Amino acid sequence: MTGNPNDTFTRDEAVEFIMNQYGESLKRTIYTYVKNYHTTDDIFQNVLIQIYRKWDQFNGQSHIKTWSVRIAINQCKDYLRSPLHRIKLVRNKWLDQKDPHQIEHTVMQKEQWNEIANAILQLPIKYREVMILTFQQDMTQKEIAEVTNTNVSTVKTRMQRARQLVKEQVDEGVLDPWIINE
Amino acid sequence: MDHQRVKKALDRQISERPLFTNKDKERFYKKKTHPDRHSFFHLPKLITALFALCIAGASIYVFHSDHPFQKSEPVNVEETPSPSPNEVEDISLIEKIDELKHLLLNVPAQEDAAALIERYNGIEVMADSTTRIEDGNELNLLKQSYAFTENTIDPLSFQSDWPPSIQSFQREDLDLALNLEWIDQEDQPLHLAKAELFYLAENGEEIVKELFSLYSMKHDFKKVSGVNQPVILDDLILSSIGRSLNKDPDSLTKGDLLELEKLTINGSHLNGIYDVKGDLEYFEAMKSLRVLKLNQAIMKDTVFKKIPSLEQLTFIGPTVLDLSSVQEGLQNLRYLNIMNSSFNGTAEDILKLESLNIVTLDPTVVPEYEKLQFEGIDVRW
Repeated sequence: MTGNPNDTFTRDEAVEFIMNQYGESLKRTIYTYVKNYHTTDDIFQNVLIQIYRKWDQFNGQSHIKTWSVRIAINQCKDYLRSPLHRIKLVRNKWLDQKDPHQIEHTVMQKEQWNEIANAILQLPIKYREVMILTFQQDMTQKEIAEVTNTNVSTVKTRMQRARQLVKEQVDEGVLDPWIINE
Repeated sequence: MDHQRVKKALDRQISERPLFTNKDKERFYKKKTHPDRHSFFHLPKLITALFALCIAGASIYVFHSDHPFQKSEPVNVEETPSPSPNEVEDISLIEKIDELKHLLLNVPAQEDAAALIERYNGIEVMADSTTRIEDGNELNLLKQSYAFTENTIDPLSFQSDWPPSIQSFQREDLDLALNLEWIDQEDQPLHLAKAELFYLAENGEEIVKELFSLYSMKHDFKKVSGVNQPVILDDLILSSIGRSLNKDPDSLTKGDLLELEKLTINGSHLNGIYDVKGDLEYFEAMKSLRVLKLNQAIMKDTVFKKIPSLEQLTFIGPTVLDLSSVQEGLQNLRYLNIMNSSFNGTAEDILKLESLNIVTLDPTVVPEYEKLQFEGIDVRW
């Protein structure tokens, strides 16, 4: 979206558009921060409310998706910093609380990739978020720098460290996920 | 592709089912009109706000004690009616397209897609099973085509005219055509791999095509207008595109360009360097192009800028020296191969490509490649 989006969309239309276009990916990103489905639902609602309230301030300088992701990330970080979260946080048991409908995968290769995905989701937040925004949100490093309020070289350094950490966690012999086929 | 495998694995770990549902929408619209007073996240802020209000209230009471209990104006809560679902009769084409796209982008079950298609009067025109090799794996595919029409039309009548011609849309035989391609793996539910939508542009003079592919980097529909326009470009470019798409170069259309994901342009048999150029609207239509190899060929950065999804680029031959002539158009590039190119620039030149994750280069040409590694770029040779 370019130009002045808030001239084109009312607040209601904007929230409807964002829900329809980015609702699923926003919720998935939120989940990677908080690792709890109920909390994801709650935070997603707060994100929608923030979008609704702040729509008049959105000047269209960034992409509407980038702007929404930034609001979602800030909400997640506010939540993770909150005393409420620290009280609730007993242990990181996200692996035990998978979607009950999840299908068991028996294919070996899939398990290997799942192992890599698990390793990514176990990373500390600052490394996890650059991986998630790269792989799950398909963002460029420039966009990641924008939504995380850092600079591109910090994103690159974190990405490199994140890769090292994942490699350390994953068993030897697992496919290298960063090989790009030409 | 590996990026996609990591993405899929992450998606599987997060949830195999859509997290975003109509319940989220309903909850938002309820919350908007009746704000949630029990939000835990705002508890500290609420306490602070209440404290401040008490002080403010006390002050007001002192200064306006003539009317201590004067009723305040009600808060102006903006109330907008929730969008009314199930109004199929009045739904516009745009709304129909939006709802279909939303469903198709969110890992739909085949039954859910079929239900929505039926709700919008979509009739199945064709269905076919086939196989395709993708990343070395043989995939069983189920292809389905649907026409959306308010008229009573024999579905068979579309079979010889598919995707439908502009005349079919102009005659209002149908207002929307949809192609779906499902991956059919044993013991697994069908998984949507590709979706194409065709409809008449607002000007009524051309067809719009929207394409979603599971293999694309961006999880969204890409759109191009004038899909039936023939492509007018140099023979070398047309034959390269035709080879990549396995289509006759002479019958390529603008709609075909939307399908193009990988392209190699090889000018090694020519004298000198081949300049890849042409009407920019054709390059702009290459919205799925993500892998490009230029052998003895070069593009200007004005052309690169028009290819939004380009993520992997290989230069072969004496075409680039320091990337300065192309860097502006390559700001979304993630992978660069200059191993067999004439590149003789510095690490700083490569660092100007701000999205780069991986570079393949000759370390004797770029001896300070450690700078790239320090910046988080994976350097290979």
